[in-house]
Amino acid sequence: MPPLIDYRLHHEGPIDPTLLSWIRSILDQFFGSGLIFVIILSLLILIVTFGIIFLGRRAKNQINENHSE
Amino acid sequence: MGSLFKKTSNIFYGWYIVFGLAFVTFLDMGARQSFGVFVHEWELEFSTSVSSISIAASIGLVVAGLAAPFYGALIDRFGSRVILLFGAALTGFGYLLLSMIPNVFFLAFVWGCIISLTAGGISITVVTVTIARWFDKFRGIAMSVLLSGAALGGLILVPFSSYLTDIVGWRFTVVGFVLLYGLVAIPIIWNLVQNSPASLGLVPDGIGNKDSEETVSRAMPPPLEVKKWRSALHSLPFWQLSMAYVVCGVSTSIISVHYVRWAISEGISSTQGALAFGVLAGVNGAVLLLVGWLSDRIERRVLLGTVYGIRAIGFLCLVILPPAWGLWTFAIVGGGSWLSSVPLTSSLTADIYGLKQVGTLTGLTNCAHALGGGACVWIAGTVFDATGSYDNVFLGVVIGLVVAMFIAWSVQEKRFSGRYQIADTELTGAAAN
Repeated sequence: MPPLIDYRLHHEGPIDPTLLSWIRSILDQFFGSGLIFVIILSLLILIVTFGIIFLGRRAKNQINENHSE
Repeated sequence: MGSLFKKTSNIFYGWYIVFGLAFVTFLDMGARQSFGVFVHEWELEFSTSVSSISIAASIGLVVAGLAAPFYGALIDRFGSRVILLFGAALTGFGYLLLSMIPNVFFLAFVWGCIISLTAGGISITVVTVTIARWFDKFRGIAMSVLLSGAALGGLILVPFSSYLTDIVGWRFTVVGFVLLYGLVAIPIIWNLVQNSPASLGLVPDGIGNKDSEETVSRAMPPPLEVKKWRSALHSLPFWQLSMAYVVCGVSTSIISVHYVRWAISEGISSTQGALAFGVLAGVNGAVLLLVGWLSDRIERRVLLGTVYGIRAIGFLCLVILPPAWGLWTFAIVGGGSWLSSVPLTSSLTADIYGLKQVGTLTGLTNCAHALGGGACVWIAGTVFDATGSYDNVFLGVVIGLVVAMFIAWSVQEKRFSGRYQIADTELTGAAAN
């Protein structure tokens, strides 16, 4: 197998393993083991999800109300 | 609070779909790009080689590329809502299977075949076509906002996966992806995505109403609007856009794989190379939004050709400038043109061929983009292994990009795009008055 196919494997997109380790080294300074990072990001994902759905449903209901009027 | 909710009603509903799908794409791209995080874990647990794991990744790339036109055809037939829902549900199920694989053969099957195939249902092809149906005048900026989610997904979620793997292991991290699809992607799609503005009694962009003169004129079909996708194969713009897009795939794929390695081969530290790549990704996100905004105001073919031209200059800098200068010049110049071609090409396809078959046609161009890019990544690596230099590869890409620039500029947008048929209609009307 050509060696650069192996190299390609580590990317699967634009995230280079060296870049990842660089990002990790910066984040490590703030988050240590990463548990806090994982918890914060998980909470943010849930908040954004609820926010998008809540606002979107509200807008859709208003559109339906406007049509029914 | 009351005033906040009143304000939300003034926002066109299509924007909720844009932000919702941008978030879904952010999660999906992050999950897919986390593959690299697990490689070392799989090597240890399955006592296998990186080469064996590579087979799974290679199969996945080919399957995802080939599936794009079929998903496009499915959207044209059934609408994007149901395809997105099935895509998210089946991809989540695929990740559940991945969390239980016992060896590398199952990895090749589950990742290469199941996940790569089912993820096509929430791929860039499907989400861009969904947005194309909701926007006309603001199609460019809407697609750019959508794609910014893809750009951010890897940068934020891959470190997340990396940390989670350290804490709970790769299997539970993959189960975490299942939860993302089940608790985030599916609820967002279920609650927000509608196939078209008409399903809510709206019109594209939310401007005017269904019966207004403006809406009727904006609904004028482009001259090349196709009822069967094969008809587009007999027209010049399809081949112009596709050929230029193949060069786009070649250039972006080569740089995403070889950029850091080029830096190392030129004596630049891997950390500096990776940092430059990070700058490239950041510049990309900002310029992507700018190009989207501009594309709603000037001819998209002009911007598309300019994007390819700027990218050619970036590649040329890698060859002619001292390595350290070339590295940072490309990070800024190349970053400015990185993903910008995607919303422009998708928008032009919808503008020229209308919305009836836009899914299939976008899928075909994306397929060409993926397969062309994949093949040339391999060729670039082979040339580097033979010559010990990337100069010939990058010069070849420069020539290809210059050709793509002229091809993009030669698209007769004012003649074929629905956007300019509107203007003509309005001008004719104004002249008659």
